[in-house]
Amino acid sequence: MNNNRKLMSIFGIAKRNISNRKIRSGIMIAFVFILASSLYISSLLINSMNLGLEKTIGRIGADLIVVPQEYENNMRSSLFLGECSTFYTDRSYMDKVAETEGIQQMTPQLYIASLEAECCGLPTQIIAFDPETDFIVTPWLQDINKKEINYGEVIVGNGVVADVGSTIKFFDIDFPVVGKLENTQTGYDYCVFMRFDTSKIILESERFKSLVDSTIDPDNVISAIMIKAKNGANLNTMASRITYTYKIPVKAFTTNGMFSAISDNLDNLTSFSSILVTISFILAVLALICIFTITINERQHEFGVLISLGATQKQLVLIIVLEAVMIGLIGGVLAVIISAVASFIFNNAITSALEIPYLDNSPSDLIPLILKTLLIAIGSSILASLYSAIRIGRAEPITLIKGDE
Amino acid sequence: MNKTKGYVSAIADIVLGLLLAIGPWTIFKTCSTAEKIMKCYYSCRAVLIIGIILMVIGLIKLLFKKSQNMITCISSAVIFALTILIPSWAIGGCANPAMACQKVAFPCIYAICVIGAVIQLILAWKYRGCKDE
Repeated sequence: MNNNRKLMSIFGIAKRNISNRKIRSGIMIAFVFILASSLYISSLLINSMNLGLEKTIGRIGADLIVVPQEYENNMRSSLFLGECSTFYTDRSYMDKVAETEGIQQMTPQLYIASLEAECCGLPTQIIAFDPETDFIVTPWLQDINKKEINYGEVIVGNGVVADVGSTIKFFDIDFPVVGKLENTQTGYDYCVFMRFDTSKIILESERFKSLVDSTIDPDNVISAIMIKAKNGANLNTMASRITYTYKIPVKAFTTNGMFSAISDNLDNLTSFSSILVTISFILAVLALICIFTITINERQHEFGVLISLGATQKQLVLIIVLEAVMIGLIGGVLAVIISAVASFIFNNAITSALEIPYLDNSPSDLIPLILKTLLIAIGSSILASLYSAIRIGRAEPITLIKGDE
Repeated sequence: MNKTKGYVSAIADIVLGLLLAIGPWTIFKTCSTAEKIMKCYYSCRAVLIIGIILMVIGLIKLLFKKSQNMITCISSAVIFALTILIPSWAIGGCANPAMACQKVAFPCIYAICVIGAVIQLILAWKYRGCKDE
């Protein structure tokens, strides 16, 4: 009981020290806030990008991707961000690619960007697949209890604004929506899927021919070949063989290789953010050390009075450390609340500006991030207070009582 | 001290109300109405009216000291909080999250409203126990 009362009074003194020195406390909280918010935001962005990349690679389900030369960026943006593009090449190249050793399964896909002002004002990526050979989209259908889609029907990604049972218009043609895929938080969430024979309706339409390409042969175009390799096959050798041996204008990538540019960017972003957080950490700790040292010098008289009233030096040290904990906690909590609310509200603007598929705002991933941010905020504040606390702990009581004299 | 709180509350109402009124048409523009008028346009029109109401409340607080109290702060906070419901629920906007309204205009409206509500609630909290002058 007595101990509790002592603790309460120490806590009370520390609390009053913070609330009565508003400007000093405000500046210290601001330093912790800058450190904690930069740590929170940069970690959130890096985690989201990492997760987006992992999920995209996992979702593709192919070992090799063959695309027309010069269209690898279009393909990458389409898969990672759901950005729209139309590109195609000759279907006959498939026969050449099929000669490659080590192929277990291969299937073509066709990428068509819908027109603007259709489907809620923005273009949508249409992906056509061949149901007979497909091993990519068909397994997703099972997740929504659907075995297949028929001629003329489409299924939509979770982020596409169309409900099952409604229709969606592409190139002035209405297509019935028969399924909506699960949320995958990848670029596929903003794509619409249809069979190759359904895509012919679009390619043969007057609107497509007048606005995109009038010379296209709907029976003879594909955009990409997705390949599943046999177990033990050397993917890099297969990719090199397809790219260089057959003398056809296509390029083959391993799935990881396809996203190596994004992965490199991610590494750069991680390095920059680590530097930023380290600099903020050093600056915040140095600034806090300075403020603690200056104010502790000024407060020697106050500590002297406390010692005269019977406080021990251990309790004085505890007051300083408690003040540091409170400053760290207030700065950390403010940083977490403001950063979390801002990242939630500006989710769409951030993902679009930084070209990441989504911001990972799920509670299961946010809780460890929040705890890490609070821990570092409080830890840095305590670290900054240690020098002052040790000085007060080691000072002669008489020096403290004399104060600044 | 009460005077400062009153001025802060009034200026917050006027500045944030002005931002709500003109922001969606100038700084953080909503979707274009060139081809067709969409739901977000009507949401922003409703927000414009509320922005003007907030500016009028702010002016009243600035001119009449008797109106600077906890009740007017709470009422401003409630107006800011309810404004969030206009684009998010009552009228809404374009369904596609990539559209300008969902990407820029509405998030800015939400942010302004959250800031306004928090400021007014803090001031209302500070007024507790204070007697009207």
